[in-house]
Amino acid sequence: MVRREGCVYAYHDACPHYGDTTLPWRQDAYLDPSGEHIMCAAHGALFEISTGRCVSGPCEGQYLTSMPVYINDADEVVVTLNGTDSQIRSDSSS
Amino acid sequence: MNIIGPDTLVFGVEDIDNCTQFLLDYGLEPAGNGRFEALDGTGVVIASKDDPSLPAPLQSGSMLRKTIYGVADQSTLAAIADELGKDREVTVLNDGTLETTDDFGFALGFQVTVRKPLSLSAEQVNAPGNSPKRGVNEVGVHSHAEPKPRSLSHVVYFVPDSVKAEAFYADRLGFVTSDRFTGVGPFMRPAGTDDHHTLFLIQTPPHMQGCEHFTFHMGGPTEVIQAGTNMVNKGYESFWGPGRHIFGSNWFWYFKSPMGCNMEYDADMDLHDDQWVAREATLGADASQAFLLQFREKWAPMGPPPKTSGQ
Ligand code: FES
Ligand SMILES: [Fe+2]
Repeated sequence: MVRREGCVYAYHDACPHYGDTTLPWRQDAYLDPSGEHIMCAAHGALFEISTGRCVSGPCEGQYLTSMPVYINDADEVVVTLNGTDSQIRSDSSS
Repeated sequence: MNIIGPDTLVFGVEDIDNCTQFLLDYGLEPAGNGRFEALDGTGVVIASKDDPSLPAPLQSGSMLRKTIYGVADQSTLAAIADELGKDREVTVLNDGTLETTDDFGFALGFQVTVRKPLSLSAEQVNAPGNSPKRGVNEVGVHSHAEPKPRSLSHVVYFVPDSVKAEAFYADRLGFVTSDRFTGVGPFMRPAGTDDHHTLFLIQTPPHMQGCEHFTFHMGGPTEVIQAGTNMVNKGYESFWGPGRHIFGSNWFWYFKSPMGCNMEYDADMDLHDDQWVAREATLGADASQAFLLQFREKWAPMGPPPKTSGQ
């Protein structure tokens, strides 16, 4: 889950290059050093934060799998996993 | 050509602090000037990606900027300069090392090797039918061990044309193919080592050209798994492993790294000589590993503590 310029985006933590590997090199290290892109550390693929599209690296042109997110009345960020709401909650202010 | 294997891999990175911490946690020793070494003096150099002393980056932006090979002696160095000088520029740097590129633009260095001879025992295994390998009263496992990488083992490139790349390393530098994945690429070893591979080439589309992973040899499978477990416990993320490859028989555990490629631990690789006939297989899950394990947090098959009497 990434928050950027007032928007929250959620993607499945799996790189489209090999399909079954997580993205970060360390827990929670999802962004590249500049903070501009989501990065897969395995082979350096960079993904647009707002679209999940790979803009550089082995899986160029492919997409991270996005997940629906919304902010509910209690001001919580809710992600829909496998069609079920609110499996992950986090305070949107944090 | 008596090339022994990679002495040093040079990376040009944005995030020097995280790369430094990662390499220290991996178990390399700091040697100053961005250099991190295994026990035999081989290692990795981390520099800023804008450092003017680094060779130009690949088009793909790969952070691997140079592979420096260790060779046996000055005459090997001269032979390489002669051979590669036929059709490309070979520069002699101030430190006496050679710098040039392979046919696809990977920067290569050559130097008289920095490898120090190691005298360490490998993991010792006791088994019925064989005389004891580990002495009486010598325990095999220490739960808090922090095993150290011993020697830079191999580097793996994504290349746009693995046939052409194999021909370069074979014809110009005397590497021999130990085994091959059909349509993917060869595992190659230079003349100065018996190791199954110090170089593996993987054919990919040109925009992917770069480093897939690199690896240091450990003292045995227990060291691979203990070092990997230490990495997981420090918050680093496994990419693949632990397991055991079929080609090369090496134990493996790969971790993603802030250098934009994977960094592996390996141990107990096969050795080969001229008698060996290269095998070929189709790449797939079955052909690439004998078995694959998956890390799990420590757990033990125990119920709750027994109730004390009288309760
Ligand atoms: S697995 Fe993500 S870039 Fe290769
Ligand atoms: Fe490897």
